[in-house]
Amino acid sequence: MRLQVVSDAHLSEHHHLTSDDDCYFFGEFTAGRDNWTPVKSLVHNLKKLPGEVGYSPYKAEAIEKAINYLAGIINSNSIEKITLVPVPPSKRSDDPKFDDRIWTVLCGLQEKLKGSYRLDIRKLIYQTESYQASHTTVNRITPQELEDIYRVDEDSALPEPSMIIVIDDVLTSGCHYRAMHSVLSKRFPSAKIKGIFLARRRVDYGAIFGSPA
Amino acid sequence: MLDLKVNPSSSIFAEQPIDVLQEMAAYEALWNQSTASFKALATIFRENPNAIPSEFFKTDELNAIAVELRKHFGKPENNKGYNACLFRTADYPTRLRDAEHPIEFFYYRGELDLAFSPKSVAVVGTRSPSEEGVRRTRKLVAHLVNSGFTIFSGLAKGVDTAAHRAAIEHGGRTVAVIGTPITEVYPKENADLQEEIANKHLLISQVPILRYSKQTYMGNRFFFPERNITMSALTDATIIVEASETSGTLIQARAALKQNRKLFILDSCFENPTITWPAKFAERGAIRVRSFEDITGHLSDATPSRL
Repeated sequence: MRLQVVSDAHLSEHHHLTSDDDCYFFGEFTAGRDNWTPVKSLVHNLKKLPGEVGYSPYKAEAIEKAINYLAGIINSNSIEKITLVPVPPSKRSDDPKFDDRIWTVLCGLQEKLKGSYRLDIRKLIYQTESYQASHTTVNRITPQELEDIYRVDEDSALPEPSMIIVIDDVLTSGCHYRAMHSVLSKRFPSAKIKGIFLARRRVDYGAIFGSPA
Repeated sequence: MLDLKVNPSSSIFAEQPIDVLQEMAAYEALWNQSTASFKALATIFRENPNAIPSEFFKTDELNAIAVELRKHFGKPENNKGYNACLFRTADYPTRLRDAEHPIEFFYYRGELDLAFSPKSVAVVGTRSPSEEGVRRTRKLVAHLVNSGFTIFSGLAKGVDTAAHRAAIEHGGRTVAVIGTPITEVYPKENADLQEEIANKHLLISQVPILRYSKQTYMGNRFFFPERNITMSALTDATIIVEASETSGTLIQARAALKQNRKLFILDSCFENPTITWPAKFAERGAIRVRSFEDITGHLSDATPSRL
C-alpha cells in the first residue's frame, strides 16, 4: 500500500497548511450518506465512543486495521530513526468523552513490532484543557489558540527526536497539525516533522482538478 | 507479529507516496503511446508488479501533460470535482483485480463509497429496447433498490438510461461506468442525468482524456466494451434485460462469467426466437430469471456484508 501526498492542489481544502508542510494520507473522507470506502469505514468506526451503536466489535477492528495500514507504509530501514507522536485528543483525560484512539493505535503498532523493531512512540504534546472537537462545531479553534493549550511533555523529550511524524485520524483544516508543528519545531529546532493522516477531508468533492496551474 | 517492507533508500516510507495529479498525467502519458490498450497496460504492470504509472516518465514530461489536461478540466469556477483512484492506494476497489486486464487507474466524480456497495448489480441491455423492455427494466430496478442494491449501468441510451432513472426515482443509489472521458457528456440527451449521477451518486470513467480527444470515433468506440468489463468487475452480478445477437452487452456477459460473477438473463430473452445467445450463456452458467426471487435467491448468500 502507498500513502498519498497532500499536494498544493489540496491546500484550498486544508487552509491552515502551507506548501512547506510535508503531509500524507491514506484516503479521503467525504460527508456523504455512506461510509463504505475502506478508509471512511475505518475512520467512522475508529471514532466510535463507548455506548455508540457498533462500538463493539467495530472499534477494535478499526484499531487493528489502522495498525496494519501504518505498518504497511514504514520503511524497515528507517523505523529506528523516527518518533511517532499522536495529536492529543480534543478532550482532557478526565472528560467522559476522552478518546485516546490514536495513542491506542500507536501502542498496538509498537507491540506488534516488538522483537523485530524498536518503535519510538511518544506523547510529546499534551493539552491543558478540553475544547470542542473540530468536526462538531462551527466556531473552529485556531492554530494559535491550540498552541496556547499545547505543552511539550518534558518527561518524554529525551532523547531528542530527529524525525517526528505527527499522526492523526482526519486532516481537516490542518489546524492541529500546524499547532503541533509550531510547538514541536520550537522545542526541537533540528527535527524534521511530517504528518500522516488516515484520511483527508474532501469538501464538496474538492476542487483539485478544477484549478489551472 | 508484523513484518515491515524494506526500502533501500533513506526514505521513511517503504514505497514512495503518490501524488494523484502526477499519476493522472502519467496514466494519460501511457495512453499517448500508440501501442496502448487496456491489455498492454495491464501487461506492463503485471511485469512491473510494484510500479505506479509515474515511474515510467520524467517529471518534465508529466508536467507538460498536466498543463494540457487542465484545459479539459475547465476553470476553477466551473469545478466539477474531478477525482481519480489509483491501484495500490487504500481506497482502490480490489474487486477490479478480477478483470482479465485490470485497470490501474480510473477517474471519478461523486461518492466513491458506491464502488464499495455492500450489495451491487449491473442492469444492462440494448440501446434500443422494446417498450416492454423499458417497463421490465424499471420494475426490476424498483425491486432491486427496495432490496438495498446499488444499480450500476453504462449511461447509454435505452436500458441503461431506464435503469439509472428508475434507481434515482426510487430513492436508490446508482453508478454510471461510462465509455467516454469523465470530462465529456455522452450521449448528449443524458447530460442532466450524467450531472445528477456525478453530483449525488458516482460517475466512473477509465477512458484517457487526451487520447480520446485526439482520435476519431473509429478509435474511441473501443472504449465502450472495455467499460462493460470494469462494470462487471465492480458488481456482484450482471442482469441482462434485453440484447440483440451483436450487442455490446454480451461483452459484459462474458466478462461476468470469466470474473466469477453471477450472470442473470431475463426470461423474455430466452423466449425471443430471433436470438440464440441466452441459451449459450445459460449453458455456461447464466441464470434464467423468471421471478425476482430467482435473483435475490442467488445473491443473498453470495453477498456478505462488507460494511
